Amino acid sequence: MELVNSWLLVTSWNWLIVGYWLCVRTGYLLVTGYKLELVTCWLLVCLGTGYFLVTGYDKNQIAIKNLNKPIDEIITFPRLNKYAPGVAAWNPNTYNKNICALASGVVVELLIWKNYLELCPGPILKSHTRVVTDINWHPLDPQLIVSTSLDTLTYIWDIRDYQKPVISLSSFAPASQVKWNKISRHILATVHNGDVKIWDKRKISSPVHYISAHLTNIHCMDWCVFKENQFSTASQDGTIKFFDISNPQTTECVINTEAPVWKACYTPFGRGMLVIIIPTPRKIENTLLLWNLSNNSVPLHTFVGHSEIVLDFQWRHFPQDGSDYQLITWSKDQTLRIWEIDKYLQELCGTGNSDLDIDCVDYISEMEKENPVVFGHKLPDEQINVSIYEKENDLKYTNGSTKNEKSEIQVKNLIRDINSDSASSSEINAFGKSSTITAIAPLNLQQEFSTNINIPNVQILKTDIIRRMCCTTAKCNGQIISLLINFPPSYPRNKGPIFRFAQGTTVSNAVRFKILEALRDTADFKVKNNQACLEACLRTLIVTMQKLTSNDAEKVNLFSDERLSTHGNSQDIYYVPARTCGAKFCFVDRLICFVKPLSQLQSSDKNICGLVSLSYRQTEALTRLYLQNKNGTLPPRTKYMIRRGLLKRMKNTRQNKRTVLIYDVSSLFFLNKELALKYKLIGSDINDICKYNAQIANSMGRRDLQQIWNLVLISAKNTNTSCSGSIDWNCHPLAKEMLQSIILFYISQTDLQTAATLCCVFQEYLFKRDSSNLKQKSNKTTVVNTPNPCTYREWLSEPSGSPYHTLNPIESSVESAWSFPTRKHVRSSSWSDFLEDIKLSNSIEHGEMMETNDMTLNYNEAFKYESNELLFDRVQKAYADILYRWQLLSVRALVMKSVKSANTEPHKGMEFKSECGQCKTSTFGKMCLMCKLPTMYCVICRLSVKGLASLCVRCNHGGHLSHMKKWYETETFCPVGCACQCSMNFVLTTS
Amino acid sequence: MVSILNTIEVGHEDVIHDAELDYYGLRLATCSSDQSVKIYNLKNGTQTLVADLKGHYGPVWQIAWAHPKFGNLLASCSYDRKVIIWKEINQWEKFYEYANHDSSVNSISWAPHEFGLVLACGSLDGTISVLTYKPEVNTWESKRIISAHTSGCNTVSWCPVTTPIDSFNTSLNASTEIKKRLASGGCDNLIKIWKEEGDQWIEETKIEVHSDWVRDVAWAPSVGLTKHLIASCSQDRRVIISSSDDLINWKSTVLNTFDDVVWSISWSLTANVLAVSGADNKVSLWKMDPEGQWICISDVIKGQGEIND
Repeated sequence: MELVNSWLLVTSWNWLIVGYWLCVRTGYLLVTGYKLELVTCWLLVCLGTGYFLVTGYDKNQIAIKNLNKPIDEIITFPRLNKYAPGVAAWNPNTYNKNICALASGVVVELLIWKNYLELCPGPILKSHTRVVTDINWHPLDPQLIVSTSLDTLTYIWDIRDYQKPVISLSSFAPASQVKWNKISRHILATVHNGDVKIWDKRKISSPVHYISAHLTNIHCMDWCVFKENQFSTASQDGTIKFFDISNPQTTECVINTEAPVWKACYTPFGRGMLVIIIPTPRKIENTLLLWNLSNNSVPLHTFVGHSEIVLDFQWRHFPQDGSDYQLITWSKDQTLRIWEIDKYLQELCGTGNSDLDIDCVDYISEMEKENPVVFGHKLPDEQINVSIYEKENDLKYTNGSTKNEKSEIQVKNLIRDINSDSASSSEINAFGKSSTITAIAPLNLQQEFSTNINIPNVQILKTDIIRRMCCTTAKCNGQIISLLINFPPSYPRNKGPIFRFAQGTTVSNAVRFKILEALRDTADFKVKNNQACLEACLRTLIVTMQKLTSNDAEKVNLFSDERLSTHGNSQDIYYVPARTCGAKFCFVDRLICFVKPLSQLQSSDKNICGLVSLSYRQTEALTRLYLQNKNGTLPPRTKYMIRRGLLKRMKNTRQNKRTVLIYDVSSLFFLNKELALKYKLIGSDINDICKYNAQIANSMGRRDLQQIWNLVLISAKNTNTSCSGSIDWNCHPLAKEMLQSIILFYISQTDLQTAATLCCVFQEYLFKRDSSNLKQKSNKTTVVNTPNPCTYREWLSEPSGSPYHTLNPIESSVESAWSFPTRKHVRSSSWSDFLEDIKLSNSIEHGEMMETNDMTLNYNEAFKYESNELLFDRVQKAYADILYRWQLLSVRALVMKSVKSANTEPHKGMEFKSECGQCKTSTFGKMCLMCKLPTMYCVICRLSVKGLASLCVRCNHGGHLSHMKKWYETETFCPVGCACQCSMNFVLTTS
Repeated sequence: MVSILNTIEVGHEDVIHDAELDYYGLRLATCSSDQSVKIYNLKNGTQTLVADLKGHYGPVWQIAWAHPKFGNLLASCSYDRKVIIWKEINQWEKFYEYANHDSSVNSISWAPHEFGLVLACGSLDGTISVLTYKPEVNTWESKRIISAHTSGCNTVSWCPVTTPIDSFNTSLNASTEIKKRLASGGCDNLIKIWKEEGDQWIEETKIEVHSDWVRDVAWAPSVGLTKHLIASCSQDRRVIISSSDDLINWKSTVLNTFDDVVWSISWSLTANVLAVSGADNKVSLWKMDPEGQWICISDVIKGQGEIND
């Protein structure tokens, strides 16, 4: 009597299971379908040969369903743990086969299925400190179970001693999966992003092997059933790789699926592999593929039938007939299907005979023709949900007793209702589907509530799906906000949730208002894009709160390490479209441009597409790929990957070559490298320099510059007649001002070259003060207070004009009166107001700038000069930088020479001192300061060295550069005969 | 007027996101969605591939050459949430990797070399990090501006070290330390100016002019300028020039409203020409005329990615 041979275990808070038989004979397969509604998160686990479905986020109940009797009632059991189960697994061993493990939160619960009637809570395995990510029963030892958690620890438990784990394995990165070897009882593997660690439970200190399998996350890892050392990894990068731990360096073979692989497991028969792929956007593919491992170029068989992505599968085996296998699949279209894998298909997988040649094309086409017609439809309408809910309530009450006729009737009624609902909504659904393919399908509210939202300082106290509301609290900087979020019925399609503050909120009204505003903003943005907004809103809440309350408390802790956890952050979903076209000014006169090839203009970016039209779970997986790598580094790129990727992509990109264009845009600027090189900057006679530069400008076709050089030549000439050799422009009424205004003009025209060159040539004269005046005043200190900039300007805007009109002319002659306090008395009241603002710290000495005769002029001049001087300096520096870029270093040195405020960095390199032979004091100079004797003698000519010297750092012998150079042209050893191979260790120094 | 000097066929397998010449104009670095950064030597109109840097596991958004006084350094940022600084020591290798961002790093920018080796990184996670190299201990120190832009930072740009000179605003006190300043733009439609105060970065001011995501911000080199200028472009199709004397009050003028989303802007070295490029695959150059009006001087490049060959 195998009445309870197969069961379906369902836990759901408002579960509803509608099972109906659908037996369609399609080719070789018997397809059996169940339709499950409102079961959003589920786990398919096995009890012996039966199968059970466990849903994810039930707070109260677990339900069990017999798969062999689909119309049979569902048995529900209460649960105590408030967290949703993440992973569930039945013990696969015959002994203890009635024990089911549920990982929920930080604990692993054991449930015991007693007498095929009752699911009793068993011991709780409690040692992890963070969420348990995976559990796995030992395939051979019925007492052992391994669990791994985000706390980076992997524990092996003996369920007889459930107080603490037997073995603890510690790794730096949290593992996403853990799997026992199916044949070797001591070996297990943990998966860390793209890497696999192989452990031996007898050697727990470190992993036996560390295999960098993929560059991207591994979604599924499975041990081989027929070969002890082999395992497979299925990854986001679209490959399934096979490794042998006896030779972990090399990949045994690779199956390339062209799309990210969600799950890949060995078939329990033959040498096959069943694979779920995440379909590429815009193309609804069949995602469930069967491969024969001996032929990894094409899949052996495609399971056609599910209208949406297949989420999970399990195998079921009938012991009555040793070779009959059933495949149970669960899809996003919310149907459960049972596929019978007959002997023929099993044989195709290479049972015993791996050389069997297979042609599978016919197979697929045949399958497609006989596609089953009526299978699960989504219920897009909420009203239907409500009605189901009510009925389901009735159902729950009656389910307590096992054999109740009434409940059977109700289930039947329900099925009928659902069927009619499905039929009526099928049209809508078909329509709706096509439109949602390109957008991220919004989660329904229940899905959203069920999502594990993990934001520091934010707690979701209560979610109520019926009243469509959720209550959260956020704590930050000692403030508390209780927020009630109401989701209108039309949410999330076009209306955002309504936010209300509940009792216990401590922040002020102003802050409340701002928070509400921010929340509405976020919600509207999300809803506009047809996305779920709860998580985003809560993030906004805490961020806004942190910002506002920290301002309140004046405790800005901008750089604290505490960051918002972005586990499953949805931010990446709103993706900033990447730049594919750009222009950048580089170097001096280059414009770099890159544009998208025209042939590609139509296709949008791949990266965003990758996120579109996938289920939430898959989207999460994809984002996790980038988000969860935080703790572990990605494995190095294998050569194989590069080669494969290159070959594949080369084909595609042959047609549209990507180019970067470099434009010479020098014509837009007044910068000419040749001019820079040819201009003469220094010389004994300034007339010659001007003449020469005029010629150069002319020869380069710059007549305008030639004129300028001629103009400055004339002004230089005029003055030159009076004093021979140099210019004395202080006597000149115009020259200095003219030259300055010429330079300013060029600066305004952004002609840095001309401006800087003029500055450089006339550096000595541009800001030269009257030396004779200076001498007269040298014993008097003159202080000019530079006014505060703003007051000064305000002051200038007064109608009275110049600030200096009230200045007593007598005052200027009394030099001693130019001290700060006395000045106030001789000014008018308006002036004294101004003086109030003057700060002594601003005072700067400008003694030589004061002309005794005309104060007014000189004040202005002083300011103007100062600003001009600074400006010219900067222009010269900027020009020097350009010269540096052109690598005209000697020209640059000349320009920098005339920069007054050149804050050159202090020399940090090596310096050489010479030591006096007599008194042993060291000096930088050529003479000893004490003895007045030369410190360095040339080893060749025996004379003291005064200019450039060259010496060996090892033996310290050296001398005149020219002598040493000549010597080492032919010799390698020191001329003194100290046997030092000096030619290797020479340094240059100046004495 | 403008001539093509070089057409460089880069071996990238996917869309190029950024390209930049080094300080001397001798090397070209490019980055792409194919997760690689490539460096080419340019000589006499020919190019040779010097390095193909692999280390990112996502599209590489931006690259930036450091000033050569620090050696040959190139920084790159990627969707894989990492910033990598590459250095040429005989050959190109990874010098430093910064992986503390929680989301795609969209923009990087080296500070003016006077401040030392300092890199700012703006990320989609809304934060900006400022990485400073400490040569004494050979380590990188990072500072974080938390929630700089609530829904993501798209771009960062440093204030030049030479502040513009107002002819009256001559605080000649050379000893006044020039503060490090940053401009950033993000998905909150704001441009923010940040100032380093002590060992913290504080928001000095913000410019609210755009009505959509700010995609690029560029602080003009200030040689010869009497004002600070910041150019910004946005998804709202506008390019806006903001100017200020005191870095607090900014006056904004719209340069132009384009036909499509504007992605990037770039100032010339002399700050008189602005290159604008956007989603319509067009590049245009803008120059300020003597009256202070911006005029388009050329629509040089229109979809020239399609070079006949």
